[in-house]
Amino acid sequence: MSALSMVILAALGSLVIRSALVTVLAGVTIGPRIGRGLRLVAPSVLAGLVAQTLLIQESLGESTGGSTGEPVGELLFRSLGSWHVAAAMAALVAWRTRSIAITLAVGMAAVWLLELVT
Amino acid sequence: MANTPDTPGTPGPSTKRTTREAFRAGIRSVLPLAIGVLPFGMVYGTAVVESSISNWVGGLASSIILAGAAQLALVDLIDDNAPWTVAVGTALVINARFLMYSAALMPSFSEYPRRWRIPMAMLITDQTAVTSLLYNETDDDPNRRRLFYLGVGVALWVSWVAGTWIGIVLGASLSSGFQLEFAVPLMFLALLVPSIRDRSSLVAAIVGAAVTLIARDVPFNTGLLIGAMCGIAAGMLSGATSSASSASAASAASAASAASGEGAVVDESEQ
Repeated sequence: MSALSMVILAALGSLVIRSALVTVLAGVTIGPRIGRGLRLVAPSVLAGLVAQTLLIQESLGESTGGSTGEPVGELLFRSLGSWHVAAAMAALVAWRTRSIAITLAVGMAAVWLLELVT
Repeated sequence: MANTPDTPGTPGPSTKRTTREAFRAGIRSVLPLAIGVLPFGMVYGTAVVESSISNWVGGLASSIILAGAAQLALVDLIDDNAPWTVAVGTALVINARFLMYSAALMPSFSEYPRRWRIPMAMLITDQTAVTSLLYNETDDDPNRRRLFYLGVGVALWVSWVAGTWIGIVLGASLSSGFQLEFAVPLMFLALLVPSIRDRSSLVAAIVGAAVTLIARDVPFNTGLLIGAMCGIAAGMLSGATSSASSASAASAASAASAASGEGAVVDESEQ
């Protein structure tokens, strides 16, 4: 199958995922219990994404796993360095200011500076 | 009875003005994120150039899939000649979190006209979901909510597509010294912190992250999904056992937010 067909299939599948609930279940009243659970979607998903993208990196292994759905390289913890320090600083700023703009600015500035001095 | 356009309270121009303002407010509030999405798009664009996939197909993916993590995995797997079921399946599992976001957005989507729901759902991303869920807590008007969401979604879409093409055009000349890749975890972090408002959301985040790490080797990238579900379950359990302490944590967060300066995206007034 061509790359274009796979991109189109992934786009259609993503559209179904995004729109299934808001079209099929629209108007259904949500109980307070489920409502509480839904409020926890963002923190748990985002924390998982932070953990995955900040702490894990794929080693440059041989491409053997594609056909089994295994990661291509080995998934290793990123060695402690400027990313961790900059992320900790950004998290502190985010917590104090609750401003996305300031968090992004401080985080990027921190990682650049740390890369310069190390 | 004739409607005079400038009469206060009449529908028409004044409503239009407020909805237009909501659209602009959406763009304004997401501007920092939209700027943060640019380097993420550039990282993806560079990955496209370095892969065997033609540039226009990789660029098209940004316009119609609109999901960074899934697109990076898709390009990676296509480049490795993975079977199409694995490539497309992995991208969809990574995007399965949008199902959870759409569930969270559903109550407000139900207020919108039916013809708007699918086009609006196309714009669901981590950033649109979090930003509009926070906004929805401060505004009950369905029209303004919808226009705010559209402002956020369109701004992010433009930024993601633009970032992708900048990455494709500049390609290998983008030096790794810029640390563009760091923009990816940083953006998720900037979204995560404001979404932690009480004890149960803190528990959800800690468990979500821990389980995602433990389950990182689970095939087809399902670790994130397993982590998210465990996080939600743990958060709900902790909320049920200690609603009193969670209320005090929320009021502390509210006080911290009130004390913080301008530019705060989160409005804690609901707490």
